Order: sequence, then structure tokens, then C-alpha cells
Amino acid sequence: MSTPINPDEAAWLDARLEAHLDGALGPEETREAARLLALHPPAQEALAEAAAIRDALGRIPAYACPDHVTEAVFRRVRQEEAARRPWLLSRQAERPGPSWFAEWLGPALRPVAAAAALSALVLASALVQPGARPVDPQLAEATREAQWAIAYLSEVGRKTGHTVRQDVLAERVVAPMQHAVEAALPAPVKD
Amino acid sequence: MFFRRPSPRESAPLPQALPRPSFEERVRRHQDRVFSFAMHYLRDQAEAEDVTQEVLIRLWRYDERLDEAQLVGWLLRVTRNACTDAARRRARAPEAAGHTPLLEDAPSDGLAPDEHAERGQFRQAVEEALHGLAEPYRSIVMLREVEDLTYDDISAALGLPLNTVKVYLHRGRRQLRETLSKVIDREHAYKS
Repeated sequence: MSTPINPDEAAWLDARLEAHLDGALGPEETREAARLLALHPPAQEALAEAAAIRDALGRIPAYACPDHVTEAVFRRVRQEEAARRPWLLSRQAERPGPSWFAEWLGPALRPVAAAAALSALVLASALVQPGARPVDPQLAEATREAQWAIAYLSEVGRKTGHTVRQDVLAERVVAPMQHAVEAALPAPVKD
Repeated sequence: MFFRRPSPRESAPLPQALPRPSFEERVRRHQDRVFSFAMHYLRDQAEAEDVTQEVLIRLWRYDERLDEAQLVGWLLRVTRNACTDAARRRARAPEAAGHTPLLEDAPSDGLAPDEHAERGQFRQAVEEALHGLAEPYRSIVMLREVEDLTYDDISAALGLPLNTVKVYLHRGRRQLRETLSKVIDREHAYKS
């Protein structure tokens, strides 16, 4: 079969077939490509093949990720988070819903309320003892330490979006404080 | 006073163009893209699931450091690397990999059954030819033609310069055409 275009032109056209399909050639190149295509049946066939291949590639199905894969990912993330920070809840979104009081307080004020409650507990413990006396300096210092610790936790929580679990707070902050209070106060007088 | 009142500068929210999606939202948004790429690359459902899990766990580890603009590129780069590793492992232990068929029948689109079968066969031939391409041509053609990514996204995903992506895409398409022209010729001969 005779080719009415020269080999250089054929090579030029071949190098631009895909771009021609993309519509990425400039106006002049598009005109030249169309002219050469009209003169060169093999290039017309190649163009049709390229279009058919693209069409077939576009019909290759996309796959949906199975639900069990996503669930496994979330499960593993929760496990890794728990392993990394056993004393912290994972993330705000994964926490169970707050009580109406906690909701009313808001996350930033919860530790503040805890600090206030703790201070009240310490002072009340000192006042209700028989023969109430001025608060022991050691006790006052311990109270201040606890308040600073809670303020620190509050600040960390505000910046990271994490919060301290109540049971951990009770075990590691409130209980030691109660022990300290009990140790600092005089033993009750027995009848 | 135990609590210092934050200054207006401290308490003001950081300037952000868009609210940052949570990890869960990111997973929901991109899981299909990751899985689909892995399926097309590996052609094995179990391996694709493993790769998807691995990639999404890595996303969780790096979640805080990735902004939305770079996320697709990062995800596909990590996915491709994981697929390459999985394919390498499979090559070392071929008996361990039980391949699941990749292609399903195309949904009915009003074609006559013989026409439908022809198209299905051709698509299968195209997919075989795509799978037979060497890297990075295969990934580039896949990302462009199957996943419909822009050149810029492909460049980011594969860590290749934009012009290199264009040149490789051209070569990959040309190789596909050379491979498939025989199939097309056979089909023409069969029809005539």
C-alpha cells in the first residue's frame, strides 16, 4: 500500500496521536494532524485503536473497599491507641456521650470543676474534724500541687483534644489526695 | 488564681482554609481509591485487602502531618510501594498466593450478548496488556486511564517530574497499542 505522506511526517503524526486524542495539541498542530490523518489510513487505524483502548481502560471497574477491611483498620487503630496511651481515652469522637452535667460544663471546664470539688473535699475534711484547727501547711501544699496538676491536665486536654478518664482521675489523683488528707489529719478520738 | 486566662492570641483558633477532616472521614473518602488501585495492581483480593489495611494504618500514623492537598498523592505513593512489596513477596513464594479472579462481567448496557461478550473479551485483553506493562508505565497508565488522576497528581503519587510522567504515559499507551493491535487485528479478521 502506497503512503502519500513521507516517513518523517508519519513519525511526527505517530508521536502526536495520543495528544490528538487528548485534545492537547495546539490549533496549528491539530490542523496538521488532521491533514496527515486524512492522507494516511494506517494512522487512522492507529488512532481508532488508541481510542478503543482508552474506552476499554475507562470501562475497567473501580472496586469498592469491603466493609470488613475498614472495620479492621478502625479496630486496629483503637487497639494501638489504647496500647500507646492506656491512661487516655483515644479521641473525642470515640468517647461515650457525656452526662448532662458534663455536657453543660463543657470539656474545658470539667477539670476545673474537678479541681474545685477536690479543694472543697480537702477543706471540708479539715473542718469537720473534732477540734478544728488551721490547715496544715503540708496539706495546703499538697492541695496546691493537686490543683496545679489538674490545671496542667486541663491545658493538655484543651490543646490535644484528649481528656483524662474519670476512673484514672479517681485512682491516681483523688485517692492519693484522700490518703494524704487522712494521714495529715489527727486520728479521731475514741470514746 | 490557679488558672491563667489565655491571652486572645493563644485562645484564637489557628487560621485554616478548610476544617480538617477526621481520620475516619479521610478513610471513608479514600478507602475505595486505595483498594481499587491495589486490586488493579495485584489482581488478588486478599492481597489487595492486606495492602489497603496497611496503607490506612500508615495514614493514621501520619494523619496529623498530611494536609488535604498532598493526601491523594501520598496515599497512592504508599499504596504503590506496598503493592510492589506484596508482588515481590508473591514472586518469592508463588505457591502461597491464590489468585482471585479480577474481572467481573460488565453490567448490562443494552448491548446484544455477542457484542457484550466481545467487549468483555477486549476489555480483558486490555487489562492483561496493562498488567504486562513494566513499571512505572503500568502505574502511570493505570492512574491516568483507570483512576482518572491528573498529571500533577500522578507526578506527586510517583515522585516523578511532570514531563517524565507525560513521556512515560505516552510510551505506556504506545506499548499497549502495540500489544493490542494483534488482538484488534484478530477481531477484525473474525468479523470480516
